[in-house]
Amino acid sequence: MDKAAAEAKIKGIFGTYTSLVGSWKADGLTDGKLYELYVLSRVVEELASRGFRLQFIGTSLKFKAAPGYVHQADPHFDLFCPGAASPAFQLFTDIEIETLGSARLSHKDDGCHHELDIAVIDVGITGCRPTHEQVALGVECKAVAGFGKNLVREALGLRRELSLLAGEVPSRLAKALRKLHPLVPARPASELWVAFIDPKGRNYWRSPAVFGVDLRHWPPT
Amino acid sequence: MTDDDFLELIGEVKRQLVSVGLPELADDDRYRIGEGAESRLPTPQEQLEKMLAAFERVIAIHDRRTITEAMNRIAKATEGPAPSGAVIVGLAREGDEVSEVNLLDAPDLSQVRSSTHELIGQLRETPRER
Repeated sequence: MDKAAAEAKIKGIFGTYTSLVGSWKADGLTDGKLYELYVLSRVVEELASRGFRLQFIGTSLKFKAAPGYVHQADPHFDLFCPGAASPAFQLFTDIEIETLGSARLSHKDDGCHHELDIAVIDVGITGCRPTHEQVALGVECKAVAGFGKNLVREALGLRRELSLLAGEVPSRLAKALRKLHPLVPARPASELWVAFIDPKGRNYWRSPAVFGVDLRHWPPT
Repeated sequence: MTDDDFLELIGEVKRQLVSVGLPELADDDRYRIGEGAESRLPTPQEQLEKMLAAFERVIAIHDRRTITEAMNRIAKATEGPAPSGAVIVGLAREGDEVSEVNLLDAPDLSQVRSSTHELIGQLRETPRER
Protein backbone atom coordinates (compact mmCIF):
# COMPACT_ATOMS: atom_id res chain seq x y z
CA MET A 1 0.00 0.00 0.00
CA ASP A 2 1.35 3.50 -0.82
CA LYS A 3 0.79 6.72 1.08
CA ALA A 4 -1.82 8.14 -1.31
CA ALA A 5 -3.94 4.99 -1.12
CA ALA A 6 -3.67 4.90 2.69
CA GLU A 7 -4.63 8.57 2.97
CA ALA A 8 -7.64 8.10 0.69
CA LYS A 9 -8.78 5.14 2.72
CA ILE A 10 -8.37 7.02 6.02
CA LYS A 11 -10.47 9.92 4.69
CA GLY A 12 -13.08 7.49 3.40
CA ILE A 13 -13.37 5.69 6.73
CA PHE A 14 -13.78 8.87 8.76
CA GLY A 15 -16.14 10.38 6.20
CA THR A 16 -18.41 7.35 6.39
CA TYR A 17 -18.20 7.31 10.18
CA THR A 18 -19.16 10.98 10.40
CA SER A 19 -22.15 10.56 8.10
CA LEU A 20 -23.42 7.53 10.03
CA VAL A 21 -22.83 8.54 13.63
CA GLY A 22 -22.72 12.35 13.65
CA SER A 23 -26.26 13.37 14.45
CA TRP A 24 -26.99 10.34 16.58
CA LYS A 25 -24.00 10.83 18.87
CA ALA A 26 -24.80 14.50 19.30
CA ASP A 27 -27.78 13.62 21.50
CA GLY A 28 -25.81 13.79 24.73
CA LEU A 29 -24.68 10.24 24.31
CA THR A 30 -21.52 9.15 26.03
CA ASP A 31 -19.17 6.30 25.28
CA GLY A 32 -19.28 5.33 28.94
CA LYS A 33 -22.99 4.60 28.97
CA LEU A 34 -22.83 2.66 25.72
CA TYR A 35 -20.04 0.54 27.13
CA GLU A 36 -22.05 0.09 30.32
CA LEU A 37 -24.77 -1.71 28.35
CA TYR A 38 -22.19 -4.03 26.83
CA VAL A 39 -20.63 -4.75 30.23
CA LEU A 40 -24.06 -5.23 31.81
CA SER A 41 -24.75 -7.99 29.29
CA ARG A 42 -21.47 -9.71 30.22
CA VAL A 43 -22.20 -9.35 33.96
CA VAL A 44 -25.71 -10.76 33.62
CA GLU A 45 -24.34 -13.63 31.54
CA GLU A 46 -21.71 -14.44 34.15
CA LEU A 47 -24.14 -14.28 37.06
CA ALA A 48 -26.44 -16.69 35.21
CA SER A 49 -23.52 -19.02 34.47
CA ARG A 50 -22.61 -19.04 38.17
CA GLY A 51 -26.08 -20.35 38.98
CA PHE A 52 -28.32 -17.36 39.66
CA ARG A 53 -31.71 -17.06 37.99
CA LEU A 54 -32.31 -13.50 36.83
CA GLN A 55 -35.61 -11.72 36.27
CA PHE A 56 -35.81 -8.27 34.74
CA ILE A 57 -38.14 -5.86 36.53
CA GLY A 58 -39.28 -3.00 34.27
CA THR A 59 -39.73 -2.50 30.56
CA SER A 60 -36.55 -0.85 29.25
CA LEU A 61 -33.04 -0.59 30.64
CA LYS A 62 -32.18 2.92 31.80
CA PHE A 63 -28.66 4.29 32.13
CA LYS A 64 -28.53 7.56 34.01
CA ALA A 65 -26.12 10.38 33.25
CA ALA A 66 -26.32 11.25 36.94
CA PRO A 67 -26.14 8.33 39.41
CA GLY A 68 -28.22 8.47 42.56
CA TYR A 69 -30.32 6.62 45.10
CA VAL A 70 -31.71 3.15 44.61
CA HIS A 71 -35.41 3.13 43.78
CA GLN A 72 -37.37 -0.07 43.42
CA ALA A 73 -39.41 1.62 40.67
CA ASP A 74 -36.25 1.88 38.53
CA PRO A 75 -35.54 -0.94 36.08
CA HIS A 76 -33.42 -3.65 37.71
CA PHE A 77 -32.78 -7.37 37.86
CA ASP A 78 -33.79 -9.69 40.70
CA LEU A 79 -31.28 -12.48 41.35
CA PHE A 80 -32.57 -15.78 42.72
CA CYS A 81 -30.55 -18.65 44.09
CA PRO A 82 -31.54 -22.05 42.65
CA GLY A 83 -34.88 -23.22 44.04
CA ALA A 84 -35.55 -19.99 45.93
CA ALA A 85 -38.89 -18.21 45.63
CA SER A 86 -37.62 -14.81 46.69
CA PRO A 87 -34.58 -12.95 45.37
CA ALA A 88 -31.25 -13.02 47.17
CA PHE A 89 -29.92 -9.86 45.53
CA GLN A 90 -30.86 -7.11 43.09
CA LEU A 91 -28.81 -5.59 40.28
CA PHE A 92 -29.07 -1.86 39.55
CA THR A 93 -27.14 0.47 37.27
CA ASP A 94 -25.79 3.94 38.02
CA ILE A 95 -26.28 4.09 41.75
CA GLU A 96 -24.35 5.64 44.62
CA ILE A 97 -23.24 3.75 47.70
CA GLU A 98 -22.37 4.94 51.20
CA THR A 99 -18.67 4.40 51.82
CA LEU A 100 -17.02 2.35 54.52
CA GLY A 101 -15.44 5.55 55.81
CA SER A 102 -18.80 7.25 56.13
CA ALA A 103 -20.05 4.43 58.35
CA ARG A 104 -17.56 5.67 60.96
CA LEU A 105 -18.66 9.30 60.78
CA SER A 106 -21.53 11.24 62.27
CA HIS A 107 -21.13 14.19 59.89
CA LYS A 108 -20.94 13.44 56.18
CA ASP A 109 -19.83 15.28 53.07
CA ASP A 110 -19.57 14.63 49.33
CA GLY A 111 -16.72 12.19 49.83
CA CYS A 112 -18.97 9.83 51.77
CA HIS A 113 -20.58 8.25 48.74
CA HIS A 114 -19.31 6.89 45.46
CA GLU A 115 -20.85 5.83 42.17
CA LEU A 116 -21.03 2.28 40.91
CA ASP A 117 -21.84 1.77 37.24
CA ILE A 118 -23.32 -1.66 37.94
CA ALA A 119 -24.06 -2.98 41.42
CA VAL A 120 -25.48 -6.14 42.93
CA ILE A 121 -26.91 -5.23 46.32
CA ASP A 122 -29.17 -6.54 49.06
CA VAL A 123 -32.89 -6.79 48.33
CA GLY A 124 -35.50 -4.12 48.99
CA ILE A 125 -33.39 -1.00 49.43
CA THR A 126 -35.25 2.07 48.18
CA GLY A 127 -35.05 5.84 48.42
CA CYS A 128 -31.50 5.81 49.72
CA ARG A 129 -27.96 4.67 49.01
CA PRO A 130 -26.91 1.16 49.99
CA THR A 131 -24.17 0.97 52.59
CA HIS A 132 -20.87 -0.70 51.77
CA GLU A 133 -22.11 -3.74 53.72
CA GLN A 134 -25.10 -4.09 51.37
CA VAL A 135 -22.97 -4.40 48.24
CA ALA A 136 -22.21 -7.88 46.89
CA LEU A 137 -20.68 -6.84 43.56
CA GLY A 138 -19.56 -3.53 42.12
CA VAL A 139 -18.59 -3.12 38.48
CA GLU A 140 -16.82 -0.12 37.01
CA CYS A 141 -16.87 0.33 33.22
CA LYS A 142 -13.90 2.05 31.61
CA ALA A 143 -14.52 2.81 27.95
CA VAL A 144 -11.40 4.97 27.67
CA ALA A 145 -9.19 4.20 24.72
CA GLY A 146 -6.01 4.45 26.78
CA PHE A 147 -5.81 2.51 30.03
CA GLY A 148 -3.64 4.31 32.59
CA LYS A 149 -2.43 3.75 36.12
CA ASN A 150 -4.91 6.37 37.30
CA LEU A 151 -7.68 3.85 36.67
CA VAL A 152 -5.93 1.32 38.89
CA ARG A 153 -5.57 3.88 41.68
CA GLU A 154 -9.23 4.85 41.31
CA ALA A 155 -10.31 1.21 41.59
CA LEU A 156 -8.10 0.68 44.63
CA GLY A 157 -9.72 3.68 46.30
CA LEU A 158 -13.15 2.27 45.60
CA ARG A 159 -12.07 -1.15 46.92
CA ARG A 160 -10.93 0.53 50.15
CA GLU A 161 -14.28 2.24 50.57
CA LEU A 162 -16.17 -1.02 50.09
CA SER A 163 -14.23 -3.38 52.36
CA LEU A 164 -11.26 -3.89 54.60
CA LEU A 165 -8.42 -6.08 53.38
CA ALA A 166 -8.76 -9.49 55.06
CA GLY A 167 -7.99 -13.15 54.56
CA GLU A 168 -9.56 -14.72 51.49
CA VAL A 169 -13.10 -16.01 51.91
CA PRO A 170 -15.84 -16.97 49.44
CA SER A 171 -17.49 -13.82 48.11
CA ARG A 172 -21.00 -12.89 49.20
CA LEU A 173 -22.29 -14.06 45.82
CA ALA A 174 -20.44 -17.38 46.14
CA LYS A 175 -21.72 -17.87 49.68
CA ALA A 176 -25.32 -17.30 48.59
CA LEU A 177 -24.87 -20.05 46.01
CA ARG A 178 -23.12 -22.28 48.58
CA LYS A 179 -19.95 -22.27 46.52
CA LEU A 180 -16.35 -21.84 47.58
CA HIS A 181 -15.32 -19.60 44.68
CA PRO A 182 -14.55 -16.89 43.88
CA LEU A 183 -12.51 -16.04 46.94
CA VAL A 184 -12.04 -12.37 47.84
CA PRO A 185 -9.56 -10.85 50.31
CA ALA A 186 -12.17 -8.50 51.70
CA ARG A 187 -14.49 -7.98 54.64
CA PRO A 188 -17.39 -7.52 53.79
CA ALA A 189 -16.70 -10.01 51.01
CA SER A 190 -17.89 -7.98 48.05
CA GLU A 191 -16.47 -8.46 44.57
CA LEU A 192 -15.18 -5.50 42.57
CA TRP A 193 -14.67 -5.80 38.83
CA VAL A 194 -13.22 -3.20 36.49
CA ALA A 195 -14.11 -3.77 32.83
CA PHE A 196 -12.05 -2.02 30.17
CA ILE A 197 -11.47 -1.99 26.41
CA ASP A 198 -7.77 -1.13 26.06
CA PRO A 199 -5.56 -4.25 25.92
CA LYS A 200 -2.85 -2.27 27.74
CA GLY A 201 -4.91 -2.74 30.90
CA ARG A 202 -3.88 -6.39 30.96
CA ASN A 203 -0.44 -5.24 32.16
CA TYR A 204 -1.86 -3.88 35.42
CA TRP A 205 -3.88 -6.66 37.06
CA ARG A 206 -1.48 -8.37 39.45
CA SER A 207 -1.12 -5.90 42.32
CA PRO A 208 -4.80 -4.79 42.35
CA ALA A 209 -5.79 -8.48 42.47
CA VAL A 210 -4.03 -8.78 45.85
CA PHE A 211 -6.60 -6.30 47.17
CA GLY A 212 -9.58 -7.93 45.47
CA VAL A 213 -9.83 -5.74 42.37
CA ASP A 214 -10.64 -7.94 39.40
CA LEU A 215 -9.55 -6.29 36.12
CA ARG A 216 -11.45 -7.66 33.12
CA HIS A 217 -10.51 -6.92 29.51
CA TRP A 218 -13.93 -6.86 27.87
CA PRO A 219 -13.75 -5.13 24.49
CA PRO A 220 -16.83 -5.42 22.27
CA THR A 221 -15.96 -7.77 19.42
CA MET B 1 6.54 3.79 2.93
CA THR B 2 9.09 5.80 4.86
CA ASP B 3 8.81 6.94 8.48
CA ASP B 4 8.02 10.43 7.15
CA ASP B 5 5.13 8.99 5.12
CA PHE B 6 3.77 7.26 8.20
CA LEU B 7 4.16 10.45 10.25
CA GLU B 8 2.15 12.37 7.66
CA LEU B 9 -0.56 9.73 7.83
CA ILE B 10 -0.53 9.96 11.64
CA GLY B 11 -1.11 13.69 11.24
CA GLU B 12 -4.09 13.02 8.99
CA VAL B 13 -5.56 10.47 11.42
CA LYS B 14 -5.11 12.94 14.27
CA ARG B 15 -6.99 15.64 12.34
CA GLN B 16 -9.79 13.21 11.60
CA LEU B 17 -10.00 11.99 15.21
CA VAL B 18 -10.31 15.53 16.50
CA SER B 19 -12.93 16.37 13.89
CA VAL B 20 -15.14 13.41 14.90
CA GLY B 21 -14.90 14.29 18.60
CA LEU B 22 -12.28 11.77 19.70
CA PRO B 23 -9.31 14.06 20.53
CA GLU B 24 -8.13 11.75 23.32
CA LEU B 25 -7.18 9.20 20.67
CA ALA B 26 -4.97 11.78 18.93
CA ASP B 27 -2.63 12.15 21.91
CA ASP B 28 0.83 10.63 21.25
CA ASP B 29 1.24 9.75 24.94
CA ARG B 30 -1.54 7.18 24.68
CA TYR B 31 0.64 5.07 22.42
CA ARG B 32 3.79 5.00 24.52
CA ILE B 33 5.31 1.62 25.22
CA GLY B 34 6.29 1.02 28.83
CA GLU B 35 6.03 3.26 31.87
CA GLY B 36 7.84 6.34 33.15
CA ALA B 37 11.29 7.47 32.08
CA GLU B 38 11.96 4.32 30.09
CA SER B 39 8.81 4.63 28.01
CA ARG B 40 9.12 5.34 24.30
CA LEU B 41 6.94 5.96 21.33
CA PRO B 42 6.58 3.10 18.87
CA THR B 43 7.78 3.46 15.29
CA PRO B 44 5.53 5.72 13.18
CA GLN B 45 4.19 2.65 11.41
CA GLU B 46 3.30 0.94 14.68
CA GLN B 47 1.77 4.11 16.10
CA LEU B 48 -0.43 4.54 13.06
CA GLU B 49 -1.66 0.96 13.47
CA LYS B 50 -2.27 1.50 17.20
CA MET B 51 -4.20 4.73 16.59
CA LEU B 52 -6.47 3.06 14.07
CA ALA B 53 -6.90 0.05 16.37
CA ALA B 54 -7.94 2.38 19.21
CA PHE B 55 -10.45 4.04 16.86
CA GLU B 56 -11.75 0.59 15.93
CA ARG B 57 -12.25 -0.31 19.61
CA VAL B 58 -14.15 2.89 20.34
CA ILE B 59 -16.45 2.69 17.34
CA ALA B 60 -17.26 -0.91 18.26
CA ILE B 61 -19.03 0.56 21.30
CA HIS B 62 -21.22 2.78 19.08
CA ASP B 63 -22.13 0.04 16.66
CA ARG B 64 -25.71 -1.16 16.54
CA ARG B 65 -24.46 -4.73 16.26
CA THR B 66 -22.72 -4.45 19.66
CA ILE B 67 -25.88 -3.07 21.23
CA THR B 68 -28.12 -5.70 19.62
CA GLU B 69 -25.78 -8.50 20.72
CA ALA B 70 -25.76 -7.11 24.27
CA MET B 71 -29.57 -7.04 24.36
CA ASN B 72 -29.69 -10.61 23.03
CA ARG B 73 -27.16 -11.74 25.63
CA ILE B 74 -29.27 -10.18 28.39
CA ALA B 75 -32.44 -11.80 27.03
CA LYS B 76 -30.73 -15.20 26.94
CA ALA B 77 -29.57 -14.92 30.56
CA THR B 78 -32.90 -13.66 31.88
CA GLU B 79 -36.02 -15.63 32.81
CA GLY B 80 -39.34 -14.13 31.74
CA PRO B 81 -39.67 -10.90 29.77
CA ALA B 82 -36.37 -9.36 28.74
CA PRO B 83 -35.82 -5.59 28.50
CA SER B 84 -37.59 -4.25 25.42
CA GLY B 85 -35.16 -1.38 24.96
CA ALA B 86 -32.32 0.60 26.45
CA VAL B 87 -32.10 4.35 26.94
CA ILE B 88 -29.65 6.85 28.34
CA VAL B 89 -31.33 9.38 30.58
CA GLY B 90 -29.50 12.69 30.29
CA LEU B 91 -28.97 15.40 32.85
CA ALA B 92 -31.84 17.85 33.11
CA ARG B 93 -31.05 21.52 32.60
CA GLU B 94 -33.08 24.06 34.50
CA GLY B 95 -36.38 24.57 32.68
CA ASP B 96 -35.77 21.73 30.25
CA GLU B 97 -37.14 18.22 30.17
CA VAL B 98 -34.77 15.34 30.73
CA SER B 99 -33.48 14.06 27.41
CA GLU B 100 -33.47 10.38 26.55
CA VAL B 101 -31.40 8.61 23.89
CA ASN B 102 -32.63 5.30 22.56
CA LEU B 103 -29.63 3.02 22.18
CA LEU B 104 -31.45 0.81 19.70
CA ASP B 105 -31.28 3.71 17.24
CA ALA B 106 -27.50 3.35 17.06
CA PRO B 107 -26.08 3.32 13.53
CA ASP B 108 -24.77 0.23 11.81
CA LEU B 109 -21.00 0.74 11.76
CA SER B 110 -20.04 -2.71 10.49
CA GLN B 111 -18.70 -1.28 7.20
CA VAL B 112 -16.54 1.31 8.99
CA ARG B 113 -15.25 -1.33 11.40
CA SER B 114 -14.34 -3.78 8.66
CA SER B 115 -12.68 -1.05 6.53
CA THR B 116 -10.63 0.07 9.52
CA HIS B 117 -9.64 -3.49 10.32
CA GLU B 118 -8.64 -4.09 6.72
CA LEU B 119 -6.57 -0.89 6.59
CA ILE B 120 -4.70 -1.86 9.78
CA GLY B 121 -3.81 -5.19 8.19
CA GLN B 122 -2.64 -3.50 4.98
CA LEU B 123 -0.49 -1.01 6.89
CA ARG B 124 1.05 -3.81 8.94
CA GLU B 125 2.11 -5.58 5.74
CA THR B 126 3.49 -2.42 4.11
CA PRO B 127 7.31 -2.54 3.99
CA ARG B 128 9.01 0.13 6.07
CA GLU B 129 11.55 1.90 3.84
CA ARG B 130 14.57 3.53 5.42
